[in-house]
Amino acid sequence: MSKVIGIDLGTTNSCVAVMEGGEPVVIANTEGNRTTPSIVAFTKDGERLVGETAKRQAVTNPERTVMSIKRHMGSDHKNNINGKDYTPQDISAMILQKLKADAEAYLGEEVKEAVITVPAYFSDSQRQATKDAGRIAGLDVKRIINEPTAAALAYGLDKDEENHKIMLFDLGGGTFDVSILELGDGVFDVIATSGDNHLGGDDFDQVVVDYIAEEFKKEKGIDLRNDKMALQRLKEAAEKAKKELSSSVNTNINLPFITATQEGPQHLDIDLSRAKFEEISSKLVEKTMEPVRKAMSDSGLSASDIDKVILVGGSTRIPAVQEEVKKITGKDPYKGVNPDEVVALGAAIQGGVLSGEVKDLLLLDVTPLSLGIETLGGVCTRLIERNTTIPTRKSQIFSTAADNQTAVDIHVLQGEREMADGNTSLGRFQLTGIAPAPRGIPQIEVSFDIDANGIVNVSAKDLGTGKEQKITITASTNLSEDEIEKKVREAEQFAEEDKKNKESVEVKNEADSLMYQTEKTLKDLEGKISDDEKSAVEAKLEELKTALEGDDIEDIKAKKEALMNEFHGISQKLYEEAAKEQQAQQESGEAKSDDEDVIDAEFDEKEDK
Amino acid sequence: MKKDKEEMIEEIEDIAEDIKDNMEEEKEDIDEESTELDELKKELEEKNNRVLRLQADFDNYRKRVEKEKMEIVKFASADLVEKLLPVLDNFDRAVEEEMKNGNEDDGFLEGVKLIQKQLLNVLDTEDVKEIEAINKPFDPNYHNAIQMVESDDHDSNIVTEVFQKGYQMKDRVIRPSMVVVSK
Repeated sequence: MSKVIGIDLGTTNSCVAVMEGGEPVVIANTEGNRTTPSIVAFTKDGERLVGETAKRQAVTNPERTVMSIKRHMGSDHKNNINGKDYTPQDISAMILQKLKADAEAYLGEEVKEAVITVPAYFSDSQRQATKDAGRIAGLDVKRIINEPTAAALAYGLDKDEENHKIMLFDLGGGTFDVSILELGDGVFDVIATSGDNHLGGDDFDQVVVDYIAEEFKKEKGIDLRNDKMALQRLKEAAEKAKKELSSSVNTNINLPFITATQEGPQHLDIDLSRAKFEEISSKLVEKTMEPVRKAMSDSGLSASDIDKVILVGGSTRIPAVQEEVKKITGKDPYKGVNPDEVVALGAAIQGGVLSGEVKDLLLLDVTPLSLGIETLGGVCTRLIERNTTIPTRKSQIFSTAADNQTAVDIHVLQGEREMADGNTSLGRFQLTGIAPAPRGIPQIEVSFDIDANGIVNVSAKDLGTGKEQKITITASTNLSEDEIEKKVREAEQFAEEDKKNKESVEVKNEADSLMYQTEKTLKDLEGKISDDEKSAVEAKLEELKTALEGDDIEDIKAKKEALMNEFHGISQKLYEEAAKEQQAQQESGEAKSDDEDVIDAEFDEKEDK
Repeated sequence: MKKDKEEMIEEIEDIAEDIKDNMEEEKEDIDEESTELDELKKELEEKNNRVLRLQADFDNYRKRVEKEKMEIVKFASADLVEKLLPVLDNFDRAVEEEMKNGNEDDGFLEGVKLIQKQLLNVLDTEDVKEIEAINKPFDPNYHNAIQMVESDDHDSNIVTEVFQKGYQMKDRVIRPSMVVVSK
């Protein structure tokens, strides 16, 4: 089935996404970037460049490089390049072609259909031009949707039932758009739009550049903006600082050897706090509020009438911008989805709906809490992790804890705690008739099987006898979202304590195993070790047994170590003896052959050990 | 006797009617079941297709993830390398500055140069190489032009100056060279 891709054809940058397994996913271009500059260029030789490469040669080829063509869509504007006329549709088609090719490279199949987004204020002719561009690029444009609608889709707001009023705040690299939408019957209506065609992240970069340059001028008397290389470094450093201040309250701009004077090389090392940044950019933030107020008054709505606010565009990451939006609308804006990609993701969702892919997909459930069984020491051993998509099936092999144990008790638990008693018991059953054997030998396969309806089937099968026992647990715990969250949080709270408990159980279990092994081996070694050695080990064994009766974990650990070391001493001796014996055997063997073969004194060098 | 015969014929005809009716009913039932069967067959086919499609999607997804994983491993250190490039740049600048002042023999400069060399060696082990730019034809795949100049010494479209060195890791451009190009 061919996929319908979603394309955000932006003024400065474009982005393409597609539905994959019910989720929209951004497709990286062949250069490895998730967005592609909306720039097209023709070299003197007629070679066509699109995207990053076109951007890099723009300075050397300004007459044949086309940027921000979106501003001309729907008009008669023509670009004459190398003697040929190109309409804005032709240029946009070239960008779309690259996005199409990148999508095909990613998907490994041909892409023939797409959904393309346009600003809400685009006229009919502008929309038609966009559709034509798609056609020229070899794409059947299934639908042209508004950018704010796409963003709302990406946030799943179309699932809202009531008639919500949604404000979209889109602050990109170079343009700013505000839209107010009304959702009714699953359809979005644009009520008002406003914006500023020349306001964006670049402007925020510039105020930082100016600030640093001024500070430097104050100190050293040189305006770095006059030096092309220094200015370039300043720009890059300013953009980086701006981005860092979105997550830190302080950043440092460090540019060694930025310039040179009579006195020698000069360096720039300035700290910039978020507070200072907000001070120097306050006018820009205020500029964004103008269109917001205008859109609200055009739509006749007040802040309280707005139900939801969505942030789109990289610059909405700036905390001061988010604060202002919150202040003026009184709402906490939606910003979970990557603001640079949200429009493309929404377009992909629309594409999924149109291709029937979204309808086809059964909404899959997940198991809200982990499932497991109780194992030795009261520990909960998880078989299925929480948030595993169902239906699913998982098995694990367990064994007996004691010699000649003929039955196992399967206690099914649900929850995130490490210890069984901290979790919810869903049921228990027994598997009997296990053939008597030393502990740890029998193989019991425990399987968890959850069907699409959330019904859990737990079975235990003795792989030796073939005997099997099972129980079925219906979704007995219908916990609400809140209850589930609470349980998860509890588990985190008690994680430390649980861990300690689990560790002490493990230490005890290990000590127990060691004791068992030791006793067994001592029996095997009857006659091979001296009575003294045997009693030395038995003494340590006794000490460990006593320690195990108590609860002092450190003590148990110590006694365990002691026993192991005692045993190692003996084992080592045993192996040394064995090695000596082997040697003796070899030598006597060689001597014999020497006697027999007097003439031929050749013999193979036996490799030791 | 005739009457008996007529009666008998009527009876037989009645029975024949009954049989006919029964057969019609049976036929209707069979038709109904047949339609139901057809519908079930269609549904089964649809579900089968969906399963196959899902399986294929999953298979493709798995292949793609494998490919992506290999890419990630191959370029695991690319991010770190990119962050180190400005450090390398500044080493260049520091050395250049001292050399300009005619201090080539200075022991400290010597030491700094060695540290620079050390950093380059480390990057070399990650298959990081400087991109050739100076006096080469301008190539936007590897170079980023920030200025254009008239130059009598160069043919057109040649890199005349490198403002900032570019670096590539294996076959990926980590940072393009920042260059000046002749008209």
